[in-house]
Amino acid sequence: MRQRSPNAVEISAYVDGMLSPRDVAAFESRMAEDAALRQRVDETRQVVAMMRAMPLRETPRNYLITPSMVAETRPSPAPRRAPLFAMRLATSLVALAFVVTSGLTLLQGGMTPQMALAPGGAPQEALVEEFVASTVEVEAEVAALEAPAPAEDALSLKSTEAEATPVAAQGTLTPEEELALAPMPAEGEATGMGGGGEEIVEAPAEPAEESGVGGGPEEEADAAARSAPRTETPETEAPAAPEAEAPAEEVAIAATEIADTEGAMAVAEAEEEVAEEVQPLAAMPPSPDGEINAEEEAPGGVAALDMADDEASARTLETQDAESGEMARESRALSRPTARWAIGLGVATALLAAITLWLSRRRPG
Amino acid sequence: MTATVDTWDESALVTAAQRGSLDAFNELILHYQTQVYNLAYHIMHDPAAADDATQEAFISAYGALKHFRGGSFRAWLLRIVSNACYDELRRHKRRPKVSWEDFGDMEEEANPHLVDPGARPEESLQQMELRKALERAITKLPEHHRTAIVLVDSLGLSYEEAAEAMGVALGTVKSRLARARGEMQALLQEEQELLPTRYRL
Repeated sequence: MRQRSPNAVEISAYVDGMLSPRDVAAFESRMAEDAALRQRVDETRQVVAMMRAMPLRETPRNYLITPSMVAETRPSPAPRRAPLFAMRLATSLVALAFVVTSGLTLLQGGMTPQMALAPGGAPQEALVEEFVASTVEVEAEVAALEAPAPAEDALSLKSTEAEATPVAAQGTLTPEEELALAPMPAEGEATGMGGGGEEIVEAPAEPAEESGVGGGPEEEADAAARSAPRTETPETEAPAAPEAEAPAEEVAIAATEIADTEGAMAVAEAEEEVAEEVQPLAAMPPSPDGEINAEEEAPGGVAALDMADDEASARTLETQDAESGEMARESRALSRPTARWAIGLGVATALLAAITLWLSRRRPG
Repeated sequence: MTATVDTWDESALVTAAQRGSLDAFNELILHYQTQVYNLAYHIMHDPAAADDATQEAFISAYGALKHFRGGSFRAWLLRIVSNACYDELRRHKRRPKVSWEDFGDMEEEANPHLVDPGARPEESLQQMELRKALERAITKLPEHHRTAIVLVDSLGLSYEEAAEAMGVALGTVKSRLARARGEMQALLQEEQELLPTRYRL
């Protein structure tokens, strides 16, 4: 079979007189120069002539309709378009619903539990602060027990003015008050059970500053006491009341610095170390001063408060984990129905599109 | 009672048929049944199948009259029969198993209507040879090309009517018609010795 010419449509249209006058002129000018084109035009005209000359077949009978035939009329061909139109409409609507549900699913999946449940972030921030404060207090205790003498001396010098007053003030304070003010880690830990972390860190310093106004000679005595070299053993620190207080206050300041520089740290390791250090402190001999008794109480109190603080930290962590898990579960729960809807609508869209395509191809012509 | 129409007024007959006049619709049937049958025959290439398709097409057309909204009634009618034929072909997966040559002269001798009473014998023979050659070539064309060339060249429909009868765009009709003519030319070139002398390429 001869390959079709690129301008076969134009030749056919020219033979049928379907070209515009301008196109006819152009075509005929090309024909005048192209013998092959002229031959193809002649051949097309011949085929058309034969087809038109071919006699039509007469019908074998007449196809008149009787009323009985009409009574059994089949569905007309016109509604042929209705199913296809309905399928196209249904496919479009389902596809639109699929897009909407997919968008909702994506939006819900992009939300984090914190974003979902923390409109102002206050509860979360409070939990973080509390956690940091508790961690800082524990680390402060650890640092106090393990910090080298020169560092401690430097801290003691640094905190002389701030710490002297509480020492002096101890002479005027009851043991309970001393317990509340002087042992900074214990106090901070105690208050850390229910307060803000920043407040806990700063609280120890405040009494020191406030009480630092009134004691002059006592401050000098403290400074002299603190200037003496210390050892790193807890036993040497505990006997003297000022020295017992100073480490606590130094610990508080060190804790503040550590908190500022290092941030939140692991709680478990600090808890273990503090527990180990607290026991030796609890075994210290009594001091001649009542303050030491208070200080003796302090270590035991520190231990008790440390343990309580550990429990509080653990509970805080558990609460955070539970809340995070809860938030995650809620987020997943939120996304499940829409995700299922999106999947179902996607499948439905694909099926409807396939059926629509099949229906459209069934139509002849 | 049969409605008599002195002059052919297609629009009036269609309107009457749409209002329920079976006689008016039968008038339309008598006017177009030859063309409808020939299209069915070229699609089905089976006289019996073409007969059934033609009857079914007219019955369906009467039931669908309410959907005819003007334009070429002939094109609307031919579209119904072509759809019916394609549906029948797909339903039974029927293929042109019986060629015209199998019926050959036997059917033509039995059916006086196939012969033009006014033609001379030699012309009738030439016409028969021509029709045989053309029908042989037409059966080898692709389905849609075959429909296009029969509608335009054999039945005399315009490009617009053919587009309406086939349910395609005007450009599609032009393309299919051009291809069909080119394919017909090539097929006839191969068997031109079978063509009447004056029609040989």
